[in-house]
Amino acid sequence: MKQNYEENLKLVHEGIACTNTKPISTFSGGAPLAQIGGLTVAQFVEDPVAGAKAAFKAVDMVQEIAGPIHTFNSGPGSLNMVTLITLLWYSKVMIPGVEIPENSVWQVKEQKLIDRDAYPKIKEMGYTKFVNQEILPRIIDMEYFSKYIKYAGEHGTEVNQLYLDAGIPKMQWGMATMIPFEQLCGMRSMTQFYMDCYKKLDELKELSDIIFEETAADKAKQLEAVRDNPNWIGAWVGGWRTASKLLNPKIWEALVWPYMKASAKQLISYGKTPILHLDQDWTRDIARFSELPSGKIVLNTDSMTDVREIRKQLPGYAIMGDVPPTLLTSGTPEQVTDYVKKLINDLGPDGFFVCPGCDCPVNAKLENIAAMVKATNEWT
Amino acid sequence: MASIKELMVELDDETLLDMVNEQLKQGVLPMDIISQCQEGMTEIGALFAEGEMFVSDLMMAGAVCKEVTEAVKPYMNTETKKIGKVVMGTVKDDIHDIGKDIVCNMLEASGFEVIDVGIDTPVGVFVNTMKENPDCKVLGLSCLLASCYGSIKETVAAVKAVRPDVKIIIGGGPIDDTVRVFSDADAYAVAAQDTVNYCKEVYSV
Repeated sequence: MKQNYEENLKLVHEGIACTNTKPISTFSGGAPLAQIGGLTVAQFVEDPVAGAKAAFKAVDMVQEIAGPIHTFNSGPGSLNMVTLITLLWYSKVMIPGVEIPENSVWQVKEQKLIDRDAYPKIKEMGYTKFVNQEILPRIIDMEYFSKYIKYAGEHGTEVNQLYLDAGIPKMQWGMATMIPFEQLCGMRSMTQFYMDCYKKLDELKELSDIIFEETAADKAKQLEAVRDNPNWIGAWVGGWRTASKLLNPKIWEALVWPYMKASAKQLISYGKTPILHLDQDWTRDIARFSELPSGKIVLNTDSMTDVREIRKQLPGYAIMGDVPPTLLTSGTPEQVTDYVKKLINDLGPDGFFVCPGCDCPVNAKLENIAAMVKATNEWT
Repeated sequence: MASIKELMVELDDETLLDMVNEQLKQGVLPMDIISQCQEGMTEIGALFAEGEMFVSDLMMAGAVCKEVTEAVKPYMNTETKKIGKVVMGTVKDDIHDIGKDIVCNMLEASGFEVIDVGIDTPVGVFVNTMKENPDCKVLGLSCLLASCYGSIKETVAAVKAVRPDVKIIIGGGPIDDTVRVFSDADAYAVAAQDTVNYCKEVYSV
């Protein structure tokens, strides 16, 4: 099914501005589609172009049953997922088909890469230099890393063309400036870093300011390059180990929110949309998102935050989600249909993107994905 | 002056350890100190359930509790009597350990003996551990990946085949009642304290 790209792009922008009149069918995740398209997770990781092509084959299968998928939140890209996740959290990522079974999804191996004495060292060396010299070589084979960075550069246009050919815009084009907490936590290990937050809060705050200033300056150059590209809609501002449910409010106020807000504002200043990718439960701090402008951001939840509370507290703000992974893997199409209808009735259709919570799990059933899309398209 | 229980709930580890050391010198029984810490942990679990405390607080509390246990160890003449055994592990193909470790800490702090079989645990390891510990009444399975629901189901079936008497509770980010029904587990936990409460129920505490 070939759709009209421009029409869908317009629909996406209406959704962000909460002026759409029908719910927007959205998908998130490449690996589950690639699996439906005939590849293992290992093959999807090994050959991102083949993975993207298999994913779009599955998109056709879904659309034949259920009607159009209007947009992707995150979709298959040219950068291999292991490399991408490594750069996201600076943690060791287990490679499917090499270090874990071929149909296991990539997973972060939790390990302590740095001690507390690394904090002053980061200040001294500069963040980028520190991670390039002291972290990357310890968590990923540099030959593997270089190979896939080069591959991504060479094949980016080819993968992006698949979206244009299918007429489906992709909303998430990468990561915004990261909240320093996420990466420090990845390097230090969650248990150790959380303890540091109680013992060394002032030191971590000072360090976070330094890291954010450096990384935001780098991000500004990247955003300048895509400022006039209308296909480059937005980026994720995440949202994983920094969730409200996970952190004491004092820590969250000091080390999370100031950077999350600044990162989102940076995207907006370039005319791009912050997709606040909120894994886990953020209900406690929903009101804080009103400090960002309505009609300019998307709150992308994973089924653990109370989305009805978001709608109540933040009218005029777009929501993306919130179909639970468990429903897509273990539920029935009837259960999915009922869930989606209720979601749209309660939250939309204006400003509501119906989407799997977080990324769709790799073992989601085709019939359940189709039920989600169909229920969205048939909602009246 | 605040009590050990209150300092525990406030997560004021430095003052708490000073007080523990002072009380030990004054001859307060180690078990009385541990017992106050456990009361603090119970309150922390309840505050977590009410949304007044958070995962980082649970982790900090677990660490503080361990420090107190280490501090009182030299003063203990006999092994502390435990409520009962709980086997805990993350299922096959899932290498996440943080959630499991929080639950293990909470269980130990609440007086249970925990046998932690680790992460990415083959079904056979769960089966053998349950066979080797016939007095263990509860098995806890941790899982963070939706792709590992099959591992939960296989583990539950294999363990129930050899130990039909054992109660199996599952927990982790994506776990809900749909997964409990799918896997035929006996219960599911949303929070660490749910597992502690379930174990207490099974052991009739």
